[in-house]
Amino acid sequence: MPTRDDDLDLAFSDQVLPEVEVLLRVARSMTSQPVDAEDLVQETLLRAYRSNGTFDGQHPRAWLLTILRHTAVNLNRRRRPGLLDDPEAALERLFARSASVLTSPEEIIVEREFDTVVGTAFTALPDKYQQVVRLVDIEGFSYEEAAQALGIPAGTVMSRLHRARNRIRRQLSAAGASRQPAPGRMDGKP
Amino acid sequence: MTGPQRVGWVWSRYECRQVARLVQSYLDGEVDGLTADRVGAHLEECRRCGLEAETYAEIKHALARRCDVSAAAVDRLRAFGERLIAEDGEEESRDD
Repeated sequence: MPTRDDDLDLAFSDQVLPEVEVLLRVARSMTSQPVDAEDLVQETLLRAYRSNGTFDGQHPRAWLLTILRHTAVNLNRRRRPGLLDDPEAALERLFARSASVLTSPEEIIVEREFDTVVGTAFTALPDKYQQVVRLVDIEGFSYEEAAQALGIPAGTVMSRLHRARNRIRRQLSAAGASRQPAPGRMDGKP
Repeated sequence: MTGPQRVGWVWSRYECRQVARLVQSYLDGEVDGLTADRVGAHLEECRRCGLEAETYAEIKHALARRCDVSAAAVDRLRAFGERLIAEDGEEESRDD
């Protein structure tokens, strides 16, 4: 005869476990390293399992995301990233390179150099900006999905995202790594 | 939004300003179809706005290349969840 515990286990299996990937992507936006994101989701699953009795059966994703956010605050394991050993030196090298080489601004972007500057600019973003960029540009969430994940309005997602990308774009321009039209041609003619 | 504002070959600043406000949402697929058509048409004909849009698109592509959520991690976490259920069941049957 099925016990109440069996029902809860079934609910956990049917409703919670399918959300693991979404939880991991959201957790990745709250941590500096993939391994921390995994730890965060593991702790979230544990808490969800233990509080399974409080789940009303509606909107499992929203319920889990709330637990995830609370768990993230409690664990408080945010460390500054070390993706580039010396981000400032990398940028300085790019400045020096663009100053000494006489090339036209329409030069083809070297993908690796571009990625380096974007990466540096991304990791230098304030946490709140980094989070939305992570969710939308890296994990592929829509504005609405990102809003739900973070518990903030979609309008806030949009404004943080646009400002963050603006910053990245300005750093690209400063490093000479973006395309600009030739000076003097502000019109639409090539 | 009114139609294209052209004086000779020069785009009016009005249209470019409007597009500048919308270009990121447009690239994110977050504008309605009519707006998308208008923005897209402007970007095809206005070199300056087109280059700006390309820069944003390249930023998005560079960022997307940083995705590091692995299927293996998802599998490990699901296995963890399954173990929670299984071990709880084992405890229950020990208590019986």
